[in-house]
This record gives sequence, structure tokens and C-alpha cells, in this order.
Amino acid sequence: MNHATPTVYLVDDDPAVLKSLTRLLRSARLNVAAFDSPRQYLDQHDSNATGCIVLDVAMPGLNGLALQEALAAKGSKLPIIFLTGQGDIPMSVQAMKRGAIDFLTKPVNDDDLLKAIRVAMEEEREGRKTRAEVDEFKDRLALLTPREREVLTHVVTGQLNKQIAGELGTVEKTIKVHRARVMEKMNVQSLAELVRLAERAGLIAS
Amino acid sequence: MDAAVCLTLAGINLFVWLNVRREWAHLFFSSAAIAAAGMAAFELLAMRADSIRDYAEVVRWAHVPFCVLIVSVVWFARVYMQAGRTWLAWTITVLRTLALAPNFLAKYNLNYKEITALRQVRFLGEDVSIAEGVLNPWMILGQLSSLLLLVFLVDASITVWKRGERRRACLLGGSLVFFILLTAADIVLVQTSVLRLPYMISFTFFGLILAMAFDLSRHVLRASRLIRELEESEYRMSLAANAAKLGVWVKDLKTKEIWASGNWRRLLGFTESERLDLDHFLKKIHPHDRDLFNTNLTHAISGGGYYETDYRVLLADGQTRWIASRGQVEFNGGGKPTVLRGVSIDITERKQAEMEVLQQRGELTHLSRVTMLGELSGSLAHELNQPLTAILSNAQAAQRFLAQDDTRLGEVRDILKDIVAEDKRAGEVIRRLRLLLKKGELQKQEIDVHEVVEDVLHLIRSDLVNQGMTVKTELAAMSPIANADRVQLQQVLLNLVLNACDVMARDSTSSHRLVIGTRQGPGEPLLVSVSDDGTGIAPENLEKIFDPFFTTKAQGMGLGLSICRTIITTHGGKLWAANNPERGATFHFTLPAHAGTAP
Repeated sequence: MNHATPTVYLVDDDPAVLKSLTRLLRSARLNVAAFDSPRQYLDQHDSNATGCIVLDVAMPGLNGLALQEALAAKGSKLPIIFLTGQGDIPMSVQAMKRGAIDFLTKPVNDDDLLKAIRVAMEEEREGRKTRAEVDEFKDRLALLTPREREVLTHVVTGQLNKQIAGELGTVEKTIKVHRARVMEKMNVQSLAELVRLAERAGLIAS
Repeated sequence: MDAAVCLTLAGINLFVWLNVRREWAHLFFSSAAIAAAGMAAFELLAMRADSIRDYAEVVRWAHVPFCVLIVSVVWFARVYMQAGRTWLAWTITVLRTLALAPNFLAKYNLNYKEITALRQVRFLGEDVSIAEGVLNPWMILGQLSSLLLLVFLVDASITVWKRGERRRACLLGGSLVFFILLTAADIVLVQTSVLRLPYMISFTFFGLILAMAFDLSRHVLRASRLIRELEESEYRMSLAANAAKLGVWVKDLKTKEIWASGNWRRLLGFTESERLDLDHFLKKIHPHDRDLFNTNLTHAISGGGYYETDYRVLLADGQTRWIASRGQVEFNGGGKPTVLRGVSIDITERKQAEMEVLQQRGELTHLSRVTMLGELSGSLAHELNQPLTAILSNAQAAQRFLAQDDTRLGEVRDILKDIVAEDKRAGEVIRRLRLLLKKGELQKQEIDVHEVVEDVLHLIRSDLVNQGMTVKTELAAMSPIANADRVQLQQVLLNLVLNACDVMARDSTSSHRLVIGTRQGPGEPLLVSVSDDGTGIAPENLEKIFDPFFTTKAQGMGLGLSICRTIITTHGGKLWAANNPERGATFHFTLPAHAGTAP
């Protein structure tokens, strides 16, 4: 499946439930990939996949929580929505702690499920976008000269050109040139944007 | 005088025999007595004979009563003492009868070939005739029969002696032998003219008759004592019967009439004077019990002999009463049933107590089942949730499809089909549940045991999944059919499976593998096993676990296994536990082989 298209990965061991949920999601014009065994899904899991996962909690062999753990270990970033027959509170707490988007009880109402999926998709898209920006930021960072990099670290902490010049033992004018180069190379329009990206890339403490 | 005594005795015994034809001894006695009387008459005539011709004729005819007497004595001894060899009795009979032929064919008689003279001798103050002449060699036939008679009597007396009736052997056997010896001696001595006296056989015969009469009278005395004893025994019997509230009855199978004691009439609701017969009686029996009653009766009459049945009777006030009836059939010599005798007793109270026990057991069984389902509620909710989820999602998908412009009717049709299927699936879960929750009487029917296994696994499927248990089934190739109550069998299997899961869940070293197996050899009982690989059962508890209120669980009542055993026992099978060779334990139960099971 083309990972560029966000997809809902459905995992439920009950074929009838799986089929009905697939239909429901298709009726909402979502891309669906259905799996009737958690093991099978885990084996074919693609870390580049986009979208979200809808997971039944009670499954033979590998239950929902164990699958969540195994996916995390594989570096999956896909958000998970759990479906459960029983509203088991300790279990849902555990699932949410591990980053589940939602914990819905069966039978699940279409609006609830679709809303949760929408939220999950949005979150995943956001996350993906951020990750892409950070990646780009890091790539561009490599283009900077050591001097420019020094200037950047000072700029993002909010120092004025004069202060930076003082600290680096040069004149304000030179810093200004460096600064313009940095903005250009990092492909940012404003100081605010630069700070935000630097923060995400872990250059400064948030 | 002795002749008169003999005739009187003969008359009495003939009368006895005519009344009771089975008493052949009385007939033989009376014929012997008549013969003895006849003998006396002929002897008297012989003494008075005044010509050789007359004397010879009298002696010739005297052989007839003589023969009758000998034959009668033989058969009297045979029948009355129930001893002596039959073939010997017949030999004597034939020989003595054959001797009549030379007797009547000879010129004079069996005794004399020729009588040369009649001599007058003085006997008891009177002149009487005695004969002199040449003896008939055919006489040997008579003597031989007398000798055989002696042998026969001695042999019979020995048998009686050995049987332990020594007094009778001495008195009756001894006196018969004595008088026969005396008779033979008298004949020989008179004929060889050693004794110059007339024949006095009638006296020895009289002795013979008296000996027989004495013993027979003892017989009669014993009979009267028996009657007294019988009356006493009957009195005691009726006392016992009344005390035990037993009703006594006798059915004549020929006339179908019934004689019954007052107690019986009261038990069955008949009046004291009402005439009773089988049809009349059958109408009193509860319609539901009539067939069984008839079956039991027919079985007893057609050869079973013993009769045993419980039935209800309908009383006039609309009440029913339980009666237990036991009886014995009497067959005649030809093996035909003639009479059925028996006793009946009111067992209403016992039956009511039994019913109560049965009802309580049923309630307990039901309670245990409901408790077990309580444990399963999560699993059952899940089993219901799955189809409900499918139905809801399908329906909402359909609504969305229909709301869109490009309505895909084919898809909607498929959805509706699936909704129907899922609804049925939910219905099936509810049906299984309701079946187990239902309170009902034991209903045995032919069921496929593999179906029961499947049903149980369905019910607890999600419970097993949640606990991480895996189930392996090792089922017999052919589906075994059992005559059993489906619900109760499910209950037993469910209980065993839940126990196994419980044991394994508490043991961290267990692999959580459950094995359910069925096995059945041709004509053998069906064996069902449930194995776990938990910690096993302590050897001293292998039997105790089936005791009520014995439990190793923290929250157990300790009734499950005890009820399971009751259920299996009610089905004619056995339930037991055994530890596995490696680890864990296995519960086995059997169900009797069913006629419809394929080999």
C-alpha cells in the first residue's frame, strides 16, 4: 500500500466485526487495511505507513496491549484507537498511558469511531509534518559554516546582534551578515520560525 | 371282624382319595384293605369247603385279592414312603399278575397241581378243611414275587432310614416286612403240611393293614396339626400384615378375579364387599402408570415369575396414592401361570420425599449452573457484543452508503445479509445462555456429544482468550451419540473446563494448555476427558474433591464437582479424577454406550 495515502489499519480477530468496521470506514471514504490476526499485522508493519490503527483488545495469541508494545518497539509512530468489549478501566488507563488516542467500547457508534479516527489522523499528520520540518531543518543545519552555526545558537536564545558580536569578539555588522546567511540557508522567514524549529530539533530547551 | 375293620378303613381312605386325587397312598391303602377283607372271606370259605373241587376253586379265586393286596402294598410303599426302586415295583406287579395265568389255567390252582384229599382238623374249637396234595411248580412265580416284595420293602426302609425318618423306617417298613415274612412262612408251612392248620393269611394281612392304617392315621393327625399351625401362621401373617399396613391379594389368572384383604381394599379405595376383578382394578390405576403396570404383569406371567411395580391409584376424593406392589406367580405342572399372589403397601410419603429430594437436587444443580454463568458473564457479554458490534457498524455503513449519491445497492444488499447472519449469531448466544439458565427437569434425549463440547467452548471462548488459555481438542473420529440431558452435560463440561482454567491460571509455570478429548471403542462406554497442566491434585484429595463443600478455591462453594458427579451418575456413568504422568490432572467421565452409536 502506498504509504503516502493515510490508511486506517483495522485489527480484529472476529471476521464479522472486521468486515463490518471495514465497510463503515469505507463508507466514510477512508482507506482501510484489515487484518484478522495481530501477528499478521505486526509482521507486515511498515514503519513508513501513515494513518492510524484501530485495535481490538481481546484477541487470542497476542492481545491489543501486547501488540501496542510490540509496535512501539518497532518504532511505529501510528496512533492507536482501542476497541474493547468490556470497559476495563485498568486496561484502558494502561493503554492511554502508552499513548493510545482513545479507548472505545463495542458496539461502537460510527460518529465516535470516525471522530477518533479523524483526531488520530490529524495528530499523525501533524506529527509527520513536524518530523519532516525537523528533518529538513537538520539537513539545512549541515550546510552552515561553523561560524554561522555559532551565530545561530546565539540568535535562537534571543540575543541581539550587538551582544553576539561582543561575545564572539567581532563587530555587529559581521554578525548581521552571518545572520542573514543563516536565515537564507535555513529557509526561514522569521526569527520566530527559526526558534520554533530549533526548539523541535532539540537545539534549545523548550 | 377283621374284614369289617378292613372294609371300614378302606371306605374312609377311598373317600379321602376321591376328594384329594393327588393322595394316591389312600387309594392303594383302601384297595389293600378291601383285598384283605376279601382274603378273609375266601379263607373262611376254604375252611368250610366240603369237596376237593370247592376247596380248589376257593383257593384259586383267593389269588385275586392276594394279587391285589401285594400290588397295593408295593405301590403304597412306593408312593407313601417315597422310597423303593420303581423298576422293582413294576417287576413285582407284573410277576404277581402273570402268576394269575397259571392259577386260572391249572386244573386246581396255583398252589396245588393235584389235591389228593381234604382232611378235617380241629381249629379254635371248630372242624375245618385243609388240603393234601401235590404242589404246583408254577407256585415258584408267587414265591418269587413275595421274595422280591421283601427285597423291595427292605430297600425302601433303608432309604427312609437314611433319609433320617428312622421311626417310620422301623415302624412302617419293619412291620410291612414282618407281616409279609409271616404270610410267606404261613403259606409255605401250610402247603408243605408242616403245620396242619388252615391258611391264616388274612390275619397277617390284617396286621399289614393295621400297620399301614396306623401310619396313615399319624399322617391324618399330622394334617390336623398342620391345619392348626396353618391357622396360627395365618393369624400371625395377618397380624404382621396389618401392623405393616400391608395389603394382601391373590389374583386368579384364569377367572381374572381378585381376592384381597381388607387392608388392600382400603389402600386401593374399594369397599369391603365390592367384587374385584382385573379390569375393575386397572381402572383405579393412574392412566400414566397403566402401561407400565401391564408390562410388569405380562412379564411376570409370561415366565418372569416375580412381579414388582410401583403405581399411583386415583382415589374417590381426587387424591393420588402411591402403591408399591410385589408378587409371585404360581405355575401349574404344565408351566401355565395360575395364580398371582402378592402384597401392596402405601409408599406415598416415601415418593413425596423422593420427589422433594429430586426437586432440591434439581434446584441445586440449577443454582450451581447459574453461579458458573455468573463467573462467565464477562465472556458472555463479549460473545454478545461481537455480533452487536457487527450489526451496528454494518447498519451505519449502510446508512452512509444510502446517503451518498452513488448508492451502491449491491453493497447494501450484502450488508443486510450480514446483519441477518449476525443477528442470528447473537440469538444463538442467547439461546445457549437461556438453556443453561433454564430450570427444568432432567430431559434425556439422543445428543451429539461433540456438539456439546463445541457449545461449551463457544460459551467460554472469550474467557479463555482473556486468560490466555489455548484449547486442544482430541475428538473421536465418529461423533458419539449419548442418551443424555444436553444442559446437564454442558454444565459438567463447563465446570470441568472452568476448574482446569482456574488451576492453570493460579500456576505461573503452567503452559495454559487445555485438552478436551473423547474416545469410544465399539460397544464401549463413551469416555470424555478434560486435562490441564496445572499443579495436579494431592493424592489424598483425588476422591475428596467430589465431596460437597470441599474446595481449594478461595471463593468456591465446593459444590460444583459434587453436582457434576451426581449428574454423571444419574446418566449411568462415572466421573473421576487422576493426575497426569508429567504434570497436571485429568478429569474423566463415562456415558453408557448408546445403541445408535456407530462403531
